[in-house]
Amino acid sequence: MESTIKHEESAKSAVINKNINLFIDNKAVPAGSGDTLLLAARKAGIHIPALCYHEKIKPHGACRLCIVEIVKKGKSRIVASCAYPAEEGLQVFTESLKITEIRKHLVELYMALFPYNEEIKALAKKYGLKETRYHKENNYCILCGLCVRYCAEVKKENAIGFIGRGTSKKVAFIPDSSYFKYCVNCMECMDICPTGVFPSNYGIERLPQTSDF
Amino acid sequence: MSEKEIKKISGLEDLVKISEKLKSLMEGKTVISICSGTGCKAYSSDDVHGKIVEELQKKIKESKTNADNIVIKKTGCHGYCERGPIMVIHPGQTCYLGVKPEDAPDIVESAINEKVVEKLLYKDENGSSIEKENDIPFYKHQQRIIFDCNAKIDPYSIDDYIMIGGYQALAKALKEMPPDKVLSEVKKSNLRGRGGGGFATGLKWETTKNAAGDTKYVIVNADEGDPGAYMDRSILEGNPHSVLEGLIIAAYTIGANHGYIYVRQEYPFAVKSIENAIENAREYGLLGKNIMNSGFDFDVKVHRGAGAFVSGESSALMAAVEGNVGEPRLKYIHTAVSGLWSKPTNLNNVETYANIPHIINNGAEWFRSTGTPGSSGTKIFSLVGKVNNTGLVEVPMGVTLRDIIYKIGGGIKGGKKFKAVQTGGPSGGVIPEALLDLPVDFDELYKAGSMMGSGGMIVMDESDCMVNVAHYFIKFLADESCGKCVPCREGLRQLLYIYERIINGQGQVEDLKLLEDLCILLENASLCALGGTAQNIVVTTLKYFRQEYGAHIYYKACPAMVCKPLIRYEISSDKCSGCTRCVKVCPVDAISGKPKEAHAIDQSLCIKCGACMEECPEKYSAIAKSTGIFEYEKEKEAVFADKGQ
Amino acid sequence: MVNMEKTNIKNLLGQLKNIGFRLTGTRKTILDIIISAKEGLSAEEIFISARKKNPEIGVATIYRNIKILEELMIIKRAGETENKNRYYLSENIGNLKINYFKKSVIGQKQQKKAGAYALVTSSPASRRQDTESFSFYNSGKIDRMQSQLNEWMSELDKIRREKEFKLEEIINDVSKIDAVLQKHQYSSENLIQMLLDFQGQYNWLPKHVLLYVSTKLKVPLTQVYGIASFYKFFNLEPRGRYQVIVCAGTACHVRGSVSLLQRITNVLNINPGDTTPDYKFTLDTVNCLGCCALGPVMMFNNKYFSNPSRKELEKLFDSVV
Repeated sequence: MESTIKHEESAKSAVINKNINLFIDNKAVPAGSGDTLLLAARKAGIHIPALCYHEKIKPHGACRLCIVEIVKKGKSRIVASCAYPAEEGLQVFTESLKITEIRKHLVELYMALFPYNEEIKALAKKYGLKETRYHKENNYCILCGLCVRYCAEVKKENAIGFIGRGTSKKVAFIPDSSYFKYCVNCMECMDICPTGVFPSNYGIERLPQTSDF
Repeated sequence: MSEKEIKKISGLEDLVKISEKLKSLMEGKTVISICSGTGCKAYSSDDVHGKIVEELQKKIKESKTNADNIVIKKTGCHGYCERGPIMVIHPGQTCYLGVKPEDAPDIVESAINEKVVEKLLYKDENGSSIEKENDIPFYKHQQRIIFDCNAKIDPYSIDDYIMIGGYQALAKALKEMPPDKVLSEVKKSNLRGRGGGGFATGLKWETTKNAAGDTKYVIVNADEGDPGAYMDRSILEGNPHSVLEGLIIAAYTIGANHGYIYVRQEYPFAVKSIENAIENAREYGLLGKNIMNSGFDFDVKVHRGAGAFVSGESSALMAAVEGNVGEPRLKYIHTAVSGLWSKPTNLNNVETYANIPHIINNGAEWFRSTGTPGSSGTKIFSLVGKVNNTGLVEVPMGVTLRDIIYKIGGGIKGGKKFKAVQTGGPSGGVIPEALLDLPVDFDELYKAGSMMGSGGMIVMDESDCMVNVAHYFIKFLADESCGKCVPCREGLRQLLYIYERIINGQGQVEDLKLLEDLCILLENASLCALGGTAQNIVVTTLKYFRQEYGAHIYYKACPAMVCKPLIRYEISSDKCSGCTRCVKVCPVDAISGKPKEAHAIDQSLCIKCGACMEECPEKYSAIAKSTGIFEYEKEKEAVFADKGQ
Repeated sequence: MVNMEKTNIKNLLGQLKNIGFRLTGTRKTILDIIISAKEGLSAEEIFISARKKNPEIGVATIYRNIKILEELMIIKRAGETENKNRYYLSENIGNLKINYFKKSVIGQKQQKKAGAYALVTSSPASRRQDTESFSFYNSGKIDRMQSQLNEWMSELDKIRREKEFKLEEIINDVSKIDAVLQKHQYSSENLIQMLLDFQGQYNWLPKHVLLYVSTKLKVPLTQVYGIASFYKFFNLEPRGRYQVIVCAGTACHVRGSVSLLQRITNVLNINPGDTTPDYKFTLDTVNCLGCCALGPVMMFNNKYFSNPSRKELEKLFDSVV
């Protein structure tokens, strides 16, 4: 009950005073009222890695690289900074001991998935990981969902979607896309893909569109 | 008991009137109640019912009795599922177990003459029979507050529920208690969520009540996805009105006018039962506009699931009710503040709602008098696996595991040795014998690494391999994971690879460290509680049964003789009599042997299905399993000396 | 150096022309830009230079043709090192032996003649014939293409089996489909409930039902397919008349559901998840039916059986029509 009331009060007061102050790595950082931790950190020049985040799309929380440790009323919690709303007086740690350990294991897992991404390579170098002990997937699609969400929220075409669940989840253009020309061929999903493998993988799966060469 | 014109209930007086009328009708009659829960239905209790009705008609024709003296009733689950179909004769409370259709004439005969059928009674170790239901050891050690009603009422009749005092709590709340008073009563009772989370129900209601907005929702989570747990189904099938009553009281307290009940598709009888209950309640004016003339409107809709365990998670459930894919979402603003269609929503488990009428009727102090200080009230567990008495048990919080398994469960089947009990479903872990004296409540099991969860308790004995059990749960979770976040999806995938390597005999020493690292990742970096608790089973099996992992990795042996790639079926040439029965039944023709000569299994062809061992006559018992590669025995000391274990 | 490359390219293009590849103005422009560049260019840079030469070129055209030239290995993309998405001229163009081509690249004109209808209803069979010849990729991609091919082969099998179900009858009876939508008030919130009703009616979810639902309710087709493939209860391919369901819950597992499954597999000769060729039986597992005292449980024809033996199974399966 107290947390709700405080939430409401802080939401109300945030409307009145636009600026909230929080502490990231013990540095005072101002933030707007509706900002997430990641946005506040980026504005202040602090780097938190993130793969499935894009300014124009709502946060998804799938890549889990942006996790940070927050301390509130003496209790610490691990949250995804791309979605957690900024609160007054919050203590945020981007490289605490716990986060370093967890992120190290996470990067090792990514190295078995798709090791050629900039962010992953930089993190691997930082944590001193040369090789991964896990079984290499060579799947290359990390299911960050950027292409799906971009097409749904920004282009509003919904030409591409998730199919399946769990370990057999895939990203696919709807079958029979030639019936309904949802895809307008803007190819912006190919640029947004963090692994860069999206085009060549799915160039074959799409039926040829009836358009001029 | 149908009336031409169904008059809407307007308050306590109407309820008492209906109850008195039914009680007086039942005065002096013998009631034969037959358990028709899904478990007993599978034992063909419907056939028993049909036969009893037939017999009764016969006796009425023969004028041996009046049509009015005996009533036959189909009730919900009684709980003692091992010995179904179960029948209880009222008012004597005579309990018959394992009833078959052929017993119908004897039963009807003795019901008319007020005798008992000896052979159907429960027999204890000394062979003496126990007649009354509550004296049977299985029931004696329980405290059945919620479950007791199941045995007394027909779930398709709302009048039965009113007869035992149903809907009086609703009348009391609507007429005598403003919402704040109901809320403070629930808060004082210290009722905690029975779905597994154990969050204080009163606090959740309060948050939802105080959240901003006029439109609010209440939801019943009947998605019981835990394999091996079926308590919620039994409550929904046997006593749906108790859940409805609790739901309406909750809606009244919070100020919600719409409710949803999410039932999983694998429970068709539960769906039918709750839909019928809703219809009956609407007829009596207990759902809809102006309930009991109090000015409060409320209606409810049933939403069926479609086969996804992850949809039982609260934010995923709300996504599914909205019509989207049932994936969990980031929950940094509680669903109590922003849930279904971004409106404040209260979500509780079936059993939590079933407790509410009792709290309102008897008071918070009464509720707190049962259980432990931190966890009040009773809890229903589904005790299954290798116990003698499988079924649903309801005990007060704080009873030890040992009491539940041995006193109520009757010990291990077949006299084998107890190994571990798995609690809490896929989110829980295993508890070994050394910790059997732990009391069962929300907090104690959590300290041991497991959790009480929704109440599943699976008992395992020496013939169960812990590595196999962990592999089973990880496979289940990998199949049911939604696949959204990387740690859960990829972490579970990698865990599966490692387990498959270990079970296939290709385990390496570094595998155990890999398992532990993945567990740290899963626990902290997952998006929802499915990934966040997936590591419990791995961590507990590693902690308490590390030597089994060692046997699989170092000796390529499975001590419990379960993991197929590591075991062999062998025919002992001394015992084999050459009857060729196993030769005929082998699906891959791996057994060679002429009649009257000792047979032999070709290990390169054998697929280890076990058909030969089942077929071999008991007097010979010539086929046995063996495991282990004996060359490794020599390297054992060297390896152990190296690793310092 | 540029001259030699130009000669090589000219030879190459001559070979390609024989098979039908046309050097359109756009493709020529792109090639010229890449040849005269000193270092690798990104797609945007190529687009900007091309625009300068011909202000009417669209960005989508540029992207498409870059992809085609890349598939033909005339230009290559450095995607797996630092400078992702930068295009260079391929080395040893002169030695390139063009063995295979995607007919879809070349044969558009022929397909266009047949009319858009033919393209729209092209079954995977004819698609597979068209794409029989693939352009030559490096070995990693050949594996992916192989798996794609396998997928298309199974699609073909599925379509063949679907024909047995007289798809035309299902399509023509739109009123039946509409009745279900009406029962749920045409509301997209009840999408899952509607799909459950269809699954109960047809025993699977035919493609055309999903298309109808998507158009009528104005829900994107990707969302309908996403829901249909997320939940285990929905099947996107035809099932047998009788479902044989084995409980795979923990209690039954501990009591031996694995050997029960093995027994049924031996009797029916199909793996879990498959259907018998005569469409009579489908074998499947489900997570917990809730009859744990009877474990291991098999559900067949709405009846529950506790650990049936091989003989009982054979008798049971023979007894149904």
